[in-house]
Amino acid sequence: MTRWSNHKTTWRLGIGLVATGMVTLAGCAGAPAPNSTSATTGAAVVAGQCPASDGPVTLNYWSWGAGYEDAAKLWNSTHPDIQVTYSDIPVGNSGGYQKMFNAVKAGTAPDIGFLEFDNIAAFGSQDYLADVSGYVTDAQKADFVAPVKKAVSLGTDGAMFSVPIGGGPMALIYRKDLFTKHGIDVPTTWAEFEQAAAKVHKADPSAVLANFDGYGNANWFAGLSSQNKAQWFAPDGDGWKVSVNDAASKATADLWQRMLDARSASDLATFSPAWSSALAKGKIWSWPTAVWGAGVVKSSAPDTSGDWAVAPLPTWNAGEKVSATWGGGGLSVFKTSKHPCEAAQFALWMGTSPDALKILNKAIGIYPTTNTLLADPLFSEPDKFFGDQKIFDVFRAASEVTPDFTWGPSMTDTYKAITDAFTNAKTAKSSLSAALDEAQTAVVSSMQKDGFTVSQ
Amino acid sequence: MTGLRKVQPANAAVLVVMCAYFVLPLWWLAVSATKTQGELVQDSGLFSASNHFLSNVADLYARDSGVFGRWLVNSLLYAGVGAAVGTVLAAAVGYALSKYRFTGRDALFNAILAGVLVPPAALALPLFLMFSRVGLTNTYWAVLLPSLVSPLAVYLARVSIDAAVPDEVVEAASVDGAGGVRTFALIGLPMMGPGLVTIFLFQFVLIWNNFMLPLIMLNDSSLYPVTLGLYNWSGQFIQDPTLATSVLVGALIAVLPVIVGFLLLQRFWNTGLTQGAVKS
Repeated sequence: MTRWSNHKTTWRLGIGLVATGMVTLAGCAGAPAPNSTSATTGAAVVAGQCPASDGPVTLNYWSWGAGYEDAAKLWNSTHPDIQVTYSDIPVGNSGGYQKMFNAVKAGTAPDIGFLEFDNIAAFGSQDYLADVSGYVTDAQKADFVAPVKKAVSLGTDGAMFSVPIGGGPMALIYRKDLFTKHGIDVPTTWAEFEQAAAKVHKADPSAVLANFDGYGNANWFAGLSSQNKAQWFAPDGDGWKVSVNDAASKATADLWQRMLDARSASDLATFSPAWSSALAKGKIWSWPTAVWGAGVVKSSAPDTSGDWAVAPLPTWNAGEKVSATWGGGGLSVFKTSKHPCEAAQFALWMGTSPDALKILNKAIGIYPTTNTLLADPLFSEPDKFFGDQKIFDVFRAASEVTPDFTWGPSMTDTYKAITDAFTNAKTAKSSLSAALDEAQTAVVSSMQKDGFTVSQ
Repeated sequence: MTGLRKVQPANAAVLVVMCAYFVLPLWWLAVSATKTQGELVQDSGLFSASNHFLSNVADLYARDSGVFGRWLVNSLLYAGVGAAVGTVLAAAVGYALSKYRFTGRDALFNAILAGVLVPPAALALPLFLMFSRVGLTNTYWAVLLPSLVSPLAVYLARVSIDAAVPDEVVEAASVDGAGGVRTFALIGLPMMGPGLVTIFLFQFVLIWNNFMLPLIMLNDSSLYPVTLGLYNWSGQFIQDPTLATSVLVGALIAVLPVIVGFLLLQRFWNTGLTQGAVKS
């Protein structure tokens, strides 16, 4: 699609400072007045009460995807004093984030916006987001799983620039029946994964162990690289150090390159009809994917029910306990909101209420990020599709060991650079590893064009 | 007309290839619109084993409490009103540029011509910032107002008036005592008939296919045109693969008004395009 220019102008003061925790965000960090009456937030939310306001408060809320609007409707019906108006915007990296940036510049930002974890820094580093930690009780804070809490803090201890809603811990979904039939062990390391791929290809030359999802999904590649301890972005003085082509990422690219060259991995466009068809016909035997991928497999290959199982993501070193994330996000409150406290209450309800979870889980298979919600029976039931395995035990364990990874200030551009470079490599039959160098150059120059100080 | 001339085999071959090139995607779309989600994923793209078109259409109109119908109406509103008013405006400007002599006329015309070179997508963001100053973003006006003006339409209008409305007629009307507006409305407009239809169709198609402007301006899905609505759905395949059939059927339905418009107004369109090609 055509992209349009992204004039960022006023962030330079904000970057780095926020990331290194030197800035206190005036006006949004204070806890709500404890003694104020009125402004009831309903029974579902236990956080501090918001200061009294004249009449009902109306909040604008932007998101995409099924379920978010229905959940907001439920909130509206139970919270007459805080009414939420929902806007369905395009998927974040396909125009939704650009829309939010435009709105911020025009002074028409919503009160609340859905941001994936990898894009919170893009808005936070420009000082567009409110730190809502002051509106969240200590008990609520303690309930969020640790890696997610860290991800929304943007490096400032205890800060919350987003209220997490759903996570995307990764594991390996595989065809247990085919693995057993051909005597292939479930790989626990990526080296074993590569050997298993060769066996699969030998057993069925038209099949592969896995598809390389990086052509259209740079965030998938980012997740796998982060598992190998890659660090693409780091705050550096007033600017950013960028290294999307670091050694760990290149090793990840090389692994998939070898499998692609041996034709033991496929190069289909993930989620395309061809890809779904390959899954359904048993031509792709496994998928390193996030927790929501389980639902995708179910809907793409309904006839293979009972044939699948879930195992921990293979690791780079034997015995290591480290996973990765793909997707997931939460609701951020924009700094310009006139009702940050009420907005935070709504966001908290979305992320912590069993009623909201029920709607979001049914609609898009949301996987919650609080210990309380994770204890819901929904996540301990045996799943028939996966041979009665309790698959969420695997994902739960994965969510505890996701690596630290700092997201950069312009992930939409970064992802575009990487998917472009990968796709070029596919057409030109050059290596993914060289494509990362190409992407690095592109990311650096696009960030410099946007006014960031960049070191490599 | 060249209808009597014999067609060379080589020419025919080129025509067949070109025809296939343009028709195949449409064929694929039509075939895919008859498939279930499962068949879409598994079967060949060019043939359909069964026909689920009607149930697909029913699904499409039932989805999100019938929002697709709303999008169609919105598109018709944006494109219909935008093209109708835009055509009259363009005709008036073209008429003034053609029939009136005033200082700066050529400079003005050249400035409008230069506007043809600016891609509309490049204007979307500045327009958004201006519209949000006056609080008009996320309203019907946000898409409708910018659609009313088109430099290319003004250019076409002027060329067509130059050719279709002789100066003598305008002078005669003026001698008979008709004012400028009256002459334009009662003599200029009717005389440029086919040219008007060309401009109308042209604008209609442009606005119907417009994507960038609504994408940037609108947040409320009840204001979306078909293009943006389908795009939003297509971003959600991962969460709901059955959306794929709805998007395909929706895309097929969305091209119908344009095709129908072309067929109905084709003869005007043909004459309109060649108008002004030769000086009489």
